[in-house]
Amino acid sequence: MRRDSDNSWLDPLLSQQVHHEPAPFDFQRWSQEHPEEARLLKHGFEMPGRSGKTTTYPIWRYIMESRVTRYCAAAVIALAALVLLSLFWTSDQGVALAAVQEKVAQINTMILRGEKVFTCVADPNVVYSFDLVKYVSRQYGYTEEGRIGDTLVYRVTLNKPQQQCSILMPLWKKCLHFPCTDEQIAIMEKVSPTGVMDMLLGTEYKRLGPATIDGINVEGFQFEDVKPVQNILPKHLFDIQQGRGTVWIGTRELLPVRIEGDMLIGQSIATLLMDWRLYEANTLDSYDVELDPRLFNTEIPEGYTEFKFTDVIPIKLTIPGLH
Amino acid sequence: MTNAEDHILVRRALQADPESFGQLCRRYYPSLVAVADSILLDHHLAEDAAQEALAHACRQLPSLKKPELFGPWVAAICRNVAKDMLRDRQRQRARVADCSPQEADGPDERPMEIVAEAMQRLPQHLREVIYLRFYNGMSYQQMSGVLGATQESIDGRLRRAKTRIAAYLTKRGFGR
Repeated sequence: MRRDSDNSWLDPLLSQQVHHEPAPFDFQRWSQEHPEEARLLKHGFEMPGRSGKTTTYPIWRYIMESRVTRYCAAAVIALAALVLLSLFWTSDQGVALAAVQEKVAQINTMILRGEKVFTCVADPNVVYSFDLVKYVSRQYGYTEEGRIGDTLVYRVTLNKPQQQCSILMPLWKKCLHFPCTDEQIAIMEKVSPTGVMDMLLGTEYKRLGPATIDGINVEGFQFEDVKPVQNILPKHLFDIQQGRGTVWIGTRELLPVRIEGDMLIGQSIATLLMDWRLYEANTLDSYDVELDPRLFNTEIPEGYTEFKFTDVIPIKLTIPGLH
Repeated sequence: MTNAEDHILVRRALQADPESFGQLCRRYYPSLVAVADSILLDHHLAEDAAQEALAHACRQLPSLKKPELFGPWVAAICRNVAKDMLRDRQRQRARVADCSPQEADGPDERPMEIVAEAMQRLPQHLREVIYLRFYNGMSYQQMSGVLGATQESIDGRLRRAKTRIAAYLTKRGFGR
């Protein structure tokens, strides 16, 4: 793409005419000067058609009415979980982060909480939003649960000792259950701090400077080179086309306090040949807490039947708006 | 990729999280001042307009159908607020002018006044890209997030705006 470079003698004149130092926005002062708006923000909006609850209703109904989409979402979630988890560990990378690396390497368990939002690129009104909780254990593996409200929509479990993986979708009594392949085991290794150090050795990051998250002083690190994670899974299964990760590290705690990922997921089997934008934010809730090994149980409860991916394309063609 | 982040922030703001709206304000305030300045041609008034636009946006937040397009949406609100302020100011000036003696333009304008004149002759949508670009060195990507236009389109607008300004200034003896 061209960039305006003609009449370059103009630029200094225009800059002199227009330029102002960016004015910092004082939200506290603005809130004082706009008490009614501040009240709305603090106590919530009364919206007949768009309260937090009703906003999720079309999404909820969309999920309920579309088998394919919900399976697709669950599959994407399962795969994205691995990617995002690996991004979490990327905070270990970098010379200035050596102390963080050392501390993270000593942690055996973590509980992360956050949210995951999938937005359909073709139709931004199609949005899936889940509240997350993730249980990570070096010994037992990884479990992620996604909820809408109080309802468990999916659960992804990777059991490390048994080398088993399961995806449960309780609403529809559907499941996937399979032994971990060598590739998946390699992924598990990659999400360990040591593996990530090797994997992201060449990744550049930029410092975002200090900030405060939930009263904790943090420093942000952002990276946009997703090549190392692009190859975690075959492209036909899960195609990360571009992305950006941000890790906020507590300056006193020397631990990742929050990780944000923003990715464009290209057309692949797991996304029903559709492009999705995925935003995920995870906050470190607690670490080195005792986790019940049953959390990592991959046994399928009674009443569940297996989801077959061969159903995906024919069903998709029958769903308005998805093709 | 701020669109998805905006989506989240809007959603949180609607769920009684004021700080999320604060983040949106901090993110877009400089752009809004630039947009308003391009209409009002007064930096201080432009700051007032931007703050008022954010108040309007806050009240109307539940009506925003595509939260990921918060930037272009709040910029459109800001344009309307600034235009209202401009109309008010013009009415006030008209009243003052009715009671005041007319002053003739000076024969020898200063260079920056000529530049300002060239800017004022631009259509508003072209003046706006100049302000966004030169107000605080905004990137094409940032401008795209506020204008809701592609970077190619923004580049084209900038070229057209600069060509017009250059033509005017050249006639007035600049750039020789």
